[in-house]
Amino acid sequence: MDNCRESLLGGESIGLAIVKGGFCDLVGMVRAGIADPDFANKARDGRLGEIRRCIGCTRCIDEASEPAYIPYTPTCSINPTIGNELQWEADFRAADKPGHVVVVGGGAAGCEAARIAALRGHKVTLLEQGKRLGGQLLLAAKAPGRDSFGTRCTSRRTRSRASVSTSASKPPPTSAR
Amino acid sequence: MKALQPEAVIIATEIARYSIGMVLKCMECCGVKAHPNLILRRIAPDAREFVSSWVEQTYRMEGFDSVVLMYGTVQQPQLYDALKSDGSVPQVFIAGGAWVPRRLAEATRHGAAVGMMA
Repeated sequence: MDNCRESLLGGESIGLAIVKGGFCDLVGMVRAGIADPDFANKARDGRLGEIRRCIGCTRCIDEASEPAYIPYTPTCSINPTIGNELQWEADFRAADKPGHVVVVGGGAAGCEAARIAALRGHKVTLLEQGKRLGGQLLLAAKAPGRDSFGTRCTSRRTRSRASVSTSASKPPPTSAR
Repeated sequence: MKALQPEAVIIATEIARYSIGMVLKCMECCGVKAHPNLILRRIAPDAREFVSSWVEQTYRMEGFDSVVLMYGTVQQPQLYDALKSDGSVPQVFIAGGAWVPRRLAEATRHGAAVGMMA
């Protein structure tokens, strides 16, 4: 396959432009597909904000070469369902009694808990004492070349689902499902 | 054939193997020198004293302006424990680094699992 290119990390919009421009027929994005198996459809539909973008941490590669879990389990730092899609699909259900869930802490676990709870129908308020979501990722993002570790991987998806209150929120945002 | 001897000492083992190279490269470019296998025993006004991880050999390094102590992350269950003992909140969960500091994937999965239980 001559007319094939590997796209840059997180460059689904670039990949689309390359294909549409006729520069090649296929753009391969492996890790992007692990972070969000539906990324290509979302990019095609212009739903770029919904894409769970790969942060390039290489945990997926690391796990494949030196598994921390036996037997080998596909692992992604930002996609908790990878390798267990069928189980998640079977287990996922709407909340029996939709309530108000308060999540304290806007790190990776807090953001994902808030997002899943909101998807299940709960009203969710996420409290974060800092000005930005991301928790320890914000610290990791300060390393050279690791800006992708910033809130890009948590904030947009979480904010689209839960009411987020940070120390920078003035006034607190209106709660939303 | 001479057997290959390990020439690299692994530090920062929690950083993925495909990431640590970049980190170490940046450190070396900045002039940082790593001294693995040493345990800090004492900080004196004029020197730092270390002991080897493997033998009782001690080392003394003089000349420094600042000492930065780095510790691994620790769990933070205080709020969870307080809410559980208070009993006023019907369901209380703890997830991520607040429960056990691990890597990002584990925190994300833990958070998702809690989101399913709420």
